[in-house]
Amino acid sequence: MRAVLLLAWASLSWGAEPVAVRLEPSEFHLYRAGAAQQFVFVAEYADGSTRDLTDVAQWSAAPGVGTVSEGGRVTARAAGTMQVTAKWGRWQASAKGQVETAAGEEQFRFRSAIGSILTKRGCNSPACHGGVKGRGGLKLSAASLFPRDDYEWIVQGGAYQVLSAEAKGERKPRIDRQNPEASLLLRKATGAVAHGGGKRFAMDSEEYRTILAWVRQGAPFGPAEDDTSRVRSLEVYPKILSLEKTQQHRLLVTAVMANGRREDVTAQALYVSSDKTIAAISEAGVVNAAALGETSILVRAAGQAAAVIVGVIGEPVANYPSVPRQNFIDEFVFEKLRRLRMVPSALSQDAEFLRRVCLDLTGTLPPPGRVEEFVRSRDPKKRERVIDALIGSPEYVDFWTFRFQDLFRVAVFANGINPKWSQMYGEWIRESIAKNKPYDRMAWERLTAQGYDGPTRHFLPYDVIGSPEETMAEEVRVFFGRRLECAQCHNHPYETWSQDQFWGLAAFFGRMFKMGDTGNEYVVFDHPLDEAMGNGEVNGKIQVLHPRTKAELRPTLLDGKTVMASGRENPRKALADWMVQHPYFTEATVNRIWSEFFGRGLVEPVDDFRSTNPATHPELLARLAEEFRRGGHDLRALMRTMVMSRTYQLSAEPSATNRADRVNYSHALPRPLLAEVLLDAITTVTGVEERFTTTVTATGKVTQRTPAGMRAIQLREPDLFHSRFLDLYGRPNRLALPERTGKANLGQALHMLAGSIYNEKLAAPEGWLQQELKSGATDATMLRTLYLTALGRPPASAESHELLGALAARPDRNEAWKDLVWAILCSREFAENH
Amino acid sequence: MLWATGLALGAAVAEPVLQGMNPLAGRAGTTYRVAIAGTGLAAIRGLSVEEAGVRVRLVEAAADRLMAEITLDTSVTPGEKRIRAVGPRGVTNAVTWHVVRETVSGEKPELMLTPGLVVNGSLAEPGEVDLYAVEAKAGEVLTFEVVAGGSAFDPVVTLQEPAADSWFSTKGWKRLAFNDEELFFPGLTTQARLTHVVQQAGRYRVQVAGFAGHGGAGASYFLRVGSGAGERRWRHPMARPDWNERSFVRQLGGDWMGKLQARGGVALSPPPPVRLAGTEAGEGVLALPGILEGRLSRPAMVHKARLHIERAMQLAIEIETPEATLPEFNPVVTVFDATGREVATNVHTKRNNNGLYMMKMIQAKTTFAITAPGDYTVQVRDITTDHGRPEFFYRVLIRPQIPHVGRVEMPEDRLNLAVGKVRLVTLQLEREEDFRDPVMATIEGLPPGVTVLPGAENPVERPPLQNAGRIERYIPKTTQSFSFLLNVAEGATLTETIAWPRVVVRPVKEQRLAAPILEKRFPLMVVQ
Repeated sequence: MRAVLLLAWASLSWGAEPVAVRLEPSEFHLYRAGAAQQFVFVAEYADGSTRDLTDVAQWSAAPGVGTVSEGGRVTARAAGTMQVTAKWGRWQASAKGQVETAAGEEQFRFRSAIGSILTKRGCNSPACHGGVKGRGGLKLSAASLFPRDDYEWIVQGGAYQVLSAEAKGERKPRIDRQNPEASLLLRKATGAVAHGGGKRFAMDSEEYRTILAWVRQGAPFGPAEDDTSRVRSLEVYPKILSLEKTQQHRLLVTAVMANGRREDVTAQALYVSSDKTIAAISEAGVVNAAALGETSILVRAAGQAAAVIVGVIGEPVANYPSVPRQNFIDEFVFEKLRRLRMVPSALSQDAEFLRRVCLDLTGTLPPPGRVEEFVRSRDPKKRERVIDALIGSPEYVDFWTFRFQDLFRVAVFANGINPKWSQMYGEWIRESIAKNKPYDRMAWERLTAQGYDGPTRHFLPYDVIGSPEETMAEEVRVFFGRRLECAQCHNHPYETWSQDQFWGLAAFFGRMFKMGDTGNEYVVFDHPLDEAMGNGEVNGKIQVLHPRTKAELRPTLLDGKTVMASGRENPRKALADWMVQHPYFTEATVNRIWSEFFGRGLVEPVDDFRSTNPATHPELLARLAEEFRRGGHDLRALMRTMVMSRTYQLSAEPSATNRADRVNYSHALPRPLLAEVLLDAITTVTGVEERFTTTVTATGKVTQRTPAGMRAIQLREPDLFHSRFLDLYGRPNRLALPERTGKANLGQALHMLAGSIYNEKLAAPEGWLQQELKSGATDATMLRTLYLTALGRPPASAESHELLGALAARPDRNEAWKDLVWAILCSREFAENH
Repeated sequence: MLWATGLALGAAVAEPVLQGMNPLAGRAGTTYRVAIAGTGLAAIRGLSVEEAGVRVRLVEAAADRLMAEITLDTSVTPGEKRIRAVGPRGVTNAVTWHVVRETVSGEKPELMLTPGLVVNGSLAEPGEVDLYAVEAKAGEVLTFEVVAGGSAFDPVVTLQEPAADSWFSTKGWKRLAFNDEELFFPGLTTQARLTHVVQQAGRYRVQVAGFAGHGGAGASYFLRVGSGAGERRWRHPMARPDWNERSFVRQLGGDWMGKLQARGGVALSPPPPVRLAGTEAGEGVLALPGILEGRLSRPAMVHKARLHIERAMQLAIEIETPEATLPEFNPVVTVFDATGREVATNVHTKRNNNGLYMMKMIQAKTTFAITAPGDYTVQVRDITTDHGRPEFFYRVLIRPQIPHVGRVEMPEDRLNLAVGKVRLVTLQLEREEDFRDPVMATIEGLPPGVTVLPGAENPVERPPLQNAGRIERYIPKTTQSFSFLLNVAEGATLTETIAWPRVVVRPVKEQRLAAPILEKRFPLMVVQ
């Protein structure tokens, strides 16, 4: 094996010498004899790349305290300090460690001894017994998250039920203490009896021997896990890995306990590659790079999950350029690009930048005069100045009001089926954006709203108080960027969210009521616990029950802390206090805003943070979140930071090294304009205003219509202001959290061909085109104006030459021009932000 | 048969209907012309305004519009007025218009507004907006009030400033302040009102529009510009002139109990109410009948008073919110016994239609029974825990029940009776607090040829809805209907002008007819 690795290693084209080597971890602590620690010996090179030398290094350890294997695995033997050293050629690195053998540490623990086998062998994976209802009558928690439950299902038997805590059917143990070899747990796993999951391990395996010994000892659970010994998280080294094709790298997996203790679980972890054609992974946790691309490796152990991003990189870039940095965003993005051997594209041209930033910050095309002025300007700070001007403009307020009205779901049906209420709610958002209210305050106000204030209206979907679970799930998704819905009916099969956590959080919304009877007067309040308020007359109680155990739930935060709000307090205040200070809040917010400017989140989808969906740039995400928190949750400052970065200002033109990149921000990615922005842009180019009807009588008479000059981004409710165009281009109805895919569809194509927006506006006498033709403007002048207005740039000389020639060749000038403008409006360059 | 009925209905001549007047406001002491929009107006021959000092002359009648001249004496009281039209098909509904003291102007583009000016305008088409200009000094407080002519038109007012900070175009305007109405809530006006403290001296723009782009016939308004913030009445509905027993804004002080007794058949002479100034600490002693007053000036504030009851009795709790009221201030009054058990509350709880959820409504009045003497606790708080302001002033009256006649309503706004036909008129009457005596109702002052025939009394008991909670605590157990038949003789003379008969309702008190509790005049005409 070692010879093969050496050959593989030797075949790599490493011309360069390392600049440094190091051992991971650099320090270690083992708490009992027999405990082990895996090491990774890493060489660092001048181009920022690393190599795993673990399997080619010579390992040594101070004798007596522990031993070290050829693969860099240290096993503790006795208490004391020890030093582990790895040596490769003239390079060597050491790690210091401590071995303790305190009383009690030797005790058997079900989770680490048996649970780890079930995890490693995939028995408790979501596709098998770790699924929602388990499999074949046996339910195990995913990756042994709940070892006590797993223990009982194995030792006592019985089938799991989703809606009841009672076991279904007769309880037959899956072990046999009288005849341990006959234990179903062993016979199934070894294939001695039929097993849907097939053979998981052999009878002569370590796993078999461990389980058999456990049953023979009476199948103990070991000491109960308390809050301090519970595994809090899983850390994987490295978080991001870049490898050349055929290169290998070992992962290091560490369980972090609530008490801070760290335990190596590399050998117990289950590894799954998202795309084996790019990078495969062995049972031991060694990544094998196979083909160019980027994928992730999912790691499960000790009830937790984590992921590693693996980039398989191409040939080294000769004379990798020094790319200027504008701010810390560039540091993180460009550093990763360098490791991935991708060169960022050039800085965007002024015109390209201006159109992009105008659309992103204000949803508005830059006026032709501004484009020419900006391009002409020699001011070295002109980009910064225009960013500040845009952020301070009324168009910014309109646009971001629109974006947050989308996210916060301002709609008639979502806000009590009352347009006055959606107006109240929408106005609260608008005022918050206009005043640049700190976002934590905005979130707090929405989470805690009581009475008749604007944000209370979002608690009244379809005119009723939303159910606690649905309300909570939406708040968590909006403000934490996480989807807990799966845990509503069962423990989350892929994450560590439990059903108890879900319902404990839902209980914060469990006392919410609306006061009122007519449908127009609802006041939102939280029912006191110490007052009946007429409940006795209808045999009612204020409580949220666990759907499975039927136990009454108290409001409990995700960290397990129960909030003992008095019977009269608004319990949502405690929740809001906790949420807006939680790291999830800031990282979810910056990620969401990031996606508005870069076309995708650092975590994508933006509201699907989970350990198995890692950020492309975790350190950048953390830094952005920290800056946002330290800056007082200032949305404008956050946006300014993003658009000031060189990363944002890169050209959309890819380079030879980054053409395939879609996730690392090596160049700007064209993004379809939002439906409302596109419609406004068409209105701007054609000079024909769009009027939206709100009420049409049965006879077709329009009795309500938006005022002239009202833009699509200023429309408050999608279910009040009708527009076929907006619906075709993806305007969400906001009855659920909006997801705008931007995907093209046949309806759009038909609308381009025959729809009123694309055709009637070109023929309208009051429109730009007809007015220009009537005024006798030359084709050249009109072409320049059209390009500047629609595309934010003048036509290239080749374009001018060709188009002016085509126009001159057409007998009907009006028709020729209508065709040309139509073609521009239908072009990707117009309909996308790039 | 259905088809024949449809034909007959289709052939029926519709009554004329008014939609709105433009201009909407006139200044006392002036004569001016107005247009009144509506339908079926071609044969209108006159107009009627029941107001001293107002003369109206019909100038021209077309199917959808009347032109008229209004002359206002200087003595006319400013405020809302009503006008009806009269024709061969009878009397129309009333539309409102206004008399003002201020200088009145017609709508003109970019008209310069000044405090004290009233501008008449209309939004003739959906989506139309009217724009005005106003010069303001830094620190000046301006109030813009847009009053609509009809309830169907809901105006919106916006204050705009030059968009000097727009990178896109400095020639545009941007929204500075917006208010549709100060508070949208049942019982409160939907007229737009905006108060703004001007930060920077300069020229501003005022935009008047219709909510969600409403406009068209009847969308007339007047815009009043005021200096200063003005009154809070916009956030506080006024008690109606008729009987408001279940309104949080009727006045419980003074002779309220005397008024209750006047409407009943039982003489009850309670001692004068004891008023306790509810303190923030809350503890006080309340006798019966008694009034508890207090201010919930901070969020989560709770007031409590002790109530000593000497014998079992039927009681009523009434609540008034004289300053802030629903939905800003939502008082919950609860009576607890010595063990802390809830004995009564003004929160009516019921189950929704499928029995899954509890629904709660606070009521301005509740009745309950005390079955055991002893000490009780009265508690007052806002229904929310996060709202409380000095304006959260309450007045709670706890008293023995006084049987009486409550609200009496006649839904018809006008009656156009056809010769030779009979018309049914129904009154709705509420019996409060177990009032059991007879009630007399009649219609007096009918024109010649119109007679009123006794109506049959409808059933009074309605079974409560399933899951309705104890609704009888909050609304009268019995709601009663009176039916009259108005019979127009074959040879009855057609009326040229409006007749004003009146409905009179009297309770019986100690076996005598008591003073009328309802005398409602209504317009009536006899038509072909």
